[in-house]
Amino acid sequence: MNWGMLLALFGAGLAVTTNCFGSSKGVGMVAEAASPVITEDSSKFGKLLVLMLLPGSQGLYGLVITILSLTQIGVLGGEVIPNTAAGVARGGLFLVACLPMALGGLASALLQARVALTGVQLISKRPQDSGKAVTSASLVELYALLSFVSSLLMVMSINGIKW
Amino acid sequence: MGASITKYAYAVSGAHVYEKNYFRKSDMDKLLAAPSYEAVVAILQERGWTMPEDTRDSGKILDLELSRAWSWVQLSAPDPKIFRVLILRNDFHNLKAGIKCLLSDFDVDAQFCKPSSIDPSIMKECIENHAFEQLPAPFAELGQEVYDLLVRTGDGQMADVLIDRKCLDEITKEAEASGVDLLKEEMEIYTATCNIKTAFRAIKTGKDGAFLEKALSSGNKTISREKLIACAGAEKKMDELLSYLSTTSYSSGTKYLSSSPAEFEKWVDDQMLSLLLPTKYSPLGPEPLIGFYLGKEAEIRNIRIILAAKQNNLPLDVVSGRLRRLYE
Repeated sequence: MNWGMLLALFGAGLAVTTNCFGSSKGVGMVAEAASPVITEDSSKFGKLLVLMLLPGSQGLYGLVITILSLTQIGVLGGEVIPNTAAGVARGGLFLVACLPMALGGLASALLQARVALTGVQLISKRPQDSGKAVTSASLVELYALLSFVSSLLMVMSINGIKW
Repeated sequence: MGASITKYAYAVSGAHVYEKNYFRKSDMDKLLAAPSYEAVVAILQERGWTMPEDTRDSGKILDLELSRAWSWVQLSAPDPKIFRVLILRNDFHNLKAGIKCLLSDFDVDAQFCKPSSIDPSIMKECIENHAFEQLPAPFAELGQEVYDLLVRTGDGQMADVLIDRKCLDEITKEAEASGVDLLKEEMEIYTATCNIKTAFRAIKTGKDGAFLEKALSSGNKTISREKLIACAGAEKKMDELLSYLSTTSYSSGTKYLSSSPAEFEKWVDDQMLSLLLPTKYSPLGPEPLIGFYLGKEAEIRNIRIILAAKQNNLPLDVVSGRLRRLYE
């Protein structure tokens, strides 16, 4: 069993799974909340669509980290992680590198959805304030981006580490 | 609590959309200023209220609107069972009205309260056929007991005591079981103030502690049942009761008890409504749905007063003083 490879694949899988879970749950919640508003006034769909999409971005970030990891560990290119003690350590590093995205993305997707939900109520009552609703929800996006950049930098630099 | 709060996104959003049509203070002023009953009905119709064939039946208009709000709660909430406590008193009222009407040959249909968890037609059928066992617990046993009591003794007051006490006990039990703090707080105020009113009326009419022992419900945290019963045994019963109530969290309302029971009722309704206001902007959880339904009840209560006033040509200043706080 190549434990190094297993750990790296686990990390790559975790990054996309947790983010897709958070995003699907978030988008689903906001879309559910938006449907009664759209039923009442379908012209609000455009404004609500932005709010519905916002918690979905984390899933994409997770996918990018997964693909990048796979290109570094010999699945989609790069050097295959050797079945040695150093290989296990390298696999562990890939797992650790994926964690910021896996955890930060999951949390930010769910929390962003909650902000977006309040935005749905705002648009329902005062459609002219849709910009404020979108801006508020976008603030949470910053933390998903920070997680993404952290994981990205780590994944890209592991193979350059001299053991 | 049953369902996760995130499952309430659709239900809560729909409730908030629906709430936009709730009457505000300024709307109530317009209704008050309307020249006639028909003009008030026309305003309600403009706001999208469903009207029965006979618009002179104000009870039916209000029942339809409240049932519409209740239907939304039942159809959209992921865990509709926890909200049953909000309408439980209607079921107990219907049981009481059904049995009394049957024994006195009155038309029961006009006496039933809606919405209710047991369909009034089923309740009526079970009572008419004396098939109380077909009703769910606790109505089966209670219905049989009250029916036997009325047939045997004709003691309508004791029948009321039995049903009202059981109703309050069940409300406390179901509110606790719901696990929703807001529901527990709302029902605590409701049951505690019902006990206060019962104790006040009992003492005023010279009833003793043994009567209160049967009539007062148990399980309240904000009021002591034992102390209320003890007041009935004291030498200066009413002074003792008012003195005890002044030490409770209901002291600011119980001062109205002696002067105007209607004012006390209004104070209770306003207290219950003020607890709901923070839920008005919540995006998730069962609390906004509780606010949505009880807010509609408050609106209906005010419109009932206005419609009755218009039908009976009551002066505006008397009516406006009776209007409750709104969910706004």
